[in-house]
Amino acid sequence: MKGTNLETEKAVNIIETILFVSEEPVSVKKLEEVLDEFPPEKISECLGMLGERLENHGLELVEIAEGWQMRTRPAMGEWVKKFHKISRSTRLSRAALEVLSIVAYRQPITRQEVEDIRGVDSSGIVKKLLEKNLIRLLGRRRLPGKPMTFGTSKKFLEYFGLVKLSDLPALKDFAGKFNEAEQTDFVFATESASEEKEPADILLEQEVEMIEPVEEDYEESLDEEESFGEI
Amino acid sequence: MSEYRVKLDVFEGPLDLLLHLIKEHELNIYDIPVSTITKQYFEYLDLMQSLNLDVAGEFLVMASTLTYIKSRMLLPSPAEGGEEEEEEDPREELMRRLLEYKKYKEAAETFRDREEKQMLTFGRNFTSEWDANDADYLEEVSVFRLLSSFREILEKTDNAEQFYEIRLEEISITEKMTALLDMLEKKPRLCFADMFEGATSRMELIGTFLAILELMKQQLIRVYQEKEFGEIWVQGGEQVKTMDDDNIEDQLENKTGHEGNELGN
Repeated sequence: MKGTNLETEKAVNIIETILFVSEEPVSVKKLEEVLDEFPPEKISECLGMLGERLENHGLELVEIAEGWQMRTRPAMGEWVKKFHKISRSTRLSRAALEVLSIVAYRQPITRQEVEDIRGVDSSGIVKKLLEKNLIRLLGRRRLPGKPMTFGTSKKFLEYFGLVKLSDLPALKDFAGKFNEAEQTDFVFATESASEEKEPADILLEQEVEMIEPVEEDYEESLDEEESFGEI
Repeated sequence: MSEYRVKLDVFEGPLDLLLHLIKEHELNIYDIPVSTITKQYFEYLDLMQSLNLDVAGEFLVMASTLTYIKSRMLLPSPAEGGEEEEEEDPREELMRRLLEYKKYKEAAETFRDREEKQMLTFGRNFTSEWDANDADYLEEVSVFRLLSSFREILEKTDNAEQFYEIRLEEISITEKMTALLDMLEKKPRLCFADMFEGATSRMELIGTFLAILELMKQQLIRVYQEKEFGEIWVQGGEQVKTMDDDNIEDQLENKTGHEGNELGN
């Protein structure tokens, strides 16, 4: 029994080390692979121990983006900024956040569909979000012109401190902050909205099987669309 | 100055303007008074054009949609007593679009809260990719909200017309931008109307407004409201630079205060 304790202690150290050297959040599965001689069911216990161990530290253990990561505590933020001479934090624009939320809830989605919802050209923003790796290419839709479809990335989860997509509040909870009396009239609108959503789900299934290597031509086709301007 | 154009489409689109109007005038989104909203929409369009803002084509498309709906509303419905198909309300399509869009807009707000929170912590993979050179924009107050405040300022000065239009002034937006930043260096924050202090002509007011938009675009200033329809505050670069945790925490508290559980977990 003594041995196992030692083992656990050691496993915690190893996990700590891995999380330290990894640039990205590390999934439990990945940890299991590395600690292959350690009982996998005890990994989460080790993570708990590591979390406790870091209690009075500048770092903390966080579950994020489908994995685990050691991050600086919020109170340490100003010191990191001082060290890195970060003068100001750049945030995403309203428009960029809007596009992200549409992509997050409606993925896979084409740029055209994003624009249909926003009612305004969004190509520059989509390009920018791709560059920032907040969204990624999922595939192409089986429609004339084979438009590309986009979805959110792991980076997106990390950027917003989410563990997984399903942690997002349900879209229907954003039924609008209009007054209660009006809400009742609203029922039919939500119903039709949810009807509309189903085709997207079906398309998701179709798309899984048709993720093609699109990387090469997507840059091209984005360029063709000219005039991105600065977003 | 006539050369100077601020691109508006990077800010917001026509649906934003409509939602802004609905909120501003407390209109019922489920029963939109089309002629009222069309009138107001065109007023904004005129204002934007007179400011020489680069109005995206989508704004004009929406203008014609509104005009079309308005004319459909005026036509008598073919109610021949018969059980003809129920005529669809010509506003329905627009209303649907607005509601749909609004949902995502609200969702985007919760993303903003999350972003704000997450910005205080760093992982190893944080890189300068998020650094300040990134010409992305931050505007917490909608550009239409700014436009409506600016219109009030314009109207006020028009009423108190003491300007002597003597000569065509040359106003450089760049100089204005520097002047505004200087102002903000002295004070931690100013309210929106204060930014126009000392402007002696309509031209100068407009120049100041365009400079504010440009500074927002470059994220050199931060324009925000503590609550809806509250005072609009402008915060300068220095403040944005040294924005400490207290500041951010206060804001987070404010936000969670208003929106409660949306931050969740």
